[in-house]
Amino acid sequence: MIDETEYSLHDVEPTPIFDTLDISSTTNRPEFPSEEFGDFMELVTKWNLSDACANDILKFSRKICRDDVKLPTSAKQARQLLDRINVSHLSFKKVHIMTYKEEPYHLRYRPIFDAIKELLSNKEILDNCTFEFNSLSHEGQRIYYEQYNGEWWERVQNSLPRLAKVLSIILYSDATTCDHLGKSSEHPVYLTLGNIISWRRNKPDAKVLLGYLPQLKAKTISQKRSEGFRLAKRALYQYSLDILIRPLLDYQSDGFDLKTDNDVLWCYPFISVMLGDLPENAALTLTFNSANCSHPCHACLVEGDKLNNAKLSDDQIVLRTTGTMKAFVDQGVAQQYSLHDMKNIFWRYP
Amino acid sequence: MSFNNIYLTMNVSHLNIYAATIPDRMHHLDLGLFNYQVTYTRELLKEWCGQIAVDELDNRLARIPRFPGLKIFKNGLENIKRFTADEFRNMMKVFVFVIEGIIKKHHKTILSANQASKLDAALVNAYYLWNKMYLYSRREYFLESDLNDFEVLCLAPYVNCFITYKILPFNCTVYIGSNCSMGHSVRTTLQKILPFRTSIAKTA
Repeated sequence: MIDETEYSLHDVEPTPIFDTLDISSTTNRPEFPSEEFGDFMELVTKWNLSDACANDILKFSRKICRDDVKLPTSAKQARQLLDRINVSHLSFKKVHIMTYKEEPYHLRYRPIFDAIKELLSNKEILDNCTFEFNSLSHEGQRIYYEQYNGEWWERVQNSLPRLAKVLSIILYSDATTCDHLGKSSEHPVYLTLGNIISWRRNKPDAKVLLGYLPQLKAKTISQKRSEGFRLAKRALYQYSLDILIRPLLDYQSDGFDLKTDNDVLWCYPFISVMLGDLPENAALTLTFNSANCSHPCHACLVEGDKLNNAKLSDDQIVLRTTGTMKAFVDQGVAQQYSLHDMKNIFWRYP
Repeated sequence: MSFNNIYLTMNVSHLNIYAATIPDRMHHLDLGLFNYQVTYTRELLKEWCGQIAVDELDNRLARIPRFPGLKIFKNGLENIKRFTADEFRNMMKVFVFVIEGIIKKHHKTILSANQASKLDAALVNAYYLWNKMYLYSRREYFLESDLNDFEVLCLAPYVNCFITYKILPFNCTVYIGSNCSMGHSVRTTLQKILPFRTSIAKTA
């Protein structure tokens, strides 16, 4: 039988609740030795200048500027200074979240709203954001273009008070090898927003790092195959994600204010999409990840041997929903539906 | 405040994790299904025609003249296990033309000439329809009728290629957006419109 005592989960201190998420440009500027210094750094970052180019600009500026103007001695020095500046919403923390066979496991992360703040502090990204549902149609047919043209957004928006906006959170995670030999690997989780128009979202700077998930290590191969290890692995994965997104629960009833340069938006945060490869999908939904099990699809309950049948009609395809899956687990018949006998943390999110 | 609370508790959760979890296109299509389709085609050629056909395939791939932006597979598909998504995308561009005629030319004697040319045509068609579906998946927007067209014009014939000619042991998930998730956000639809499950295909 499964040995429940193999691992223990540790609580983390909750993140403080705020009313307003301030992304206006005035408050988020780090402190520089002088105003000109700051302007120069902004220039360098905005145009993504090389050190050589930045140095030449510096040289030129020094020639024409007053003597009391404080500028960095070189681009390199300026960058080093920038790295040292402590911006509170960019710092990560490391917490101990699980003990498995006396081995501690740590989650390195930052609060989810800090990540959102970083993303939206980029003026150009914010300008390409839409917070309200709008319906597009062409000759009586609906057009599905962006997330905020879809029916999910419409449903969500309709469930909120008038004037409230939707903040659609997309999480993406995948195990990534960090060297060519494949010896070290990390498991980053990235965040992006469905509010951003897709051509902008597809650029690299429209995603931010939320944290690194811990990876459970087994000492022996037989331990790796043991039921207890797999259970601990699933629990660790779900628990880590739970910690990452837990702050969202604090705002499900009242939302929060998003303060931009010239406006205040009343937003409700929602998780809209979780992206991943197949093993990832199975871990998120707690379904069996073998293709040989009776119901291999994480989204529906079609039997494995019927998945290749293109002629199934709509009513033969039963989708998995929170309600039915919960019921299967409660009744203890989860195994029959290729579902792990465990509570899924996502059930309680709005 | 209390009004909001009442308002929200009346509604059930909007997050259905089983529908919100989606495979991303790169893993799903490029590295998953197309990879599988190509690997399987090679095995198929070996069975129907012998090693000579597989060599011919590699040869044809290697002999494509250079073209800016197109990757040429000088060593054929020797290193297919180490290919990246970019390489598979390049393969899609040329595979329809590369595959044509191989079975006709090299088929074993157990197949009649008629059978061989039929199989050949079906195989080419499968790759053609695949490309069509792949392009669909990259569209920026969809009309409701597009989703339907996808099913009727691409997916159904694609599946038929396999069922009629038994080209691949078709064990991939075949159901599309309209069944599974139309009415979800469009991004989701975009991914869900794609019919297959990567790993299922891999183990088939």
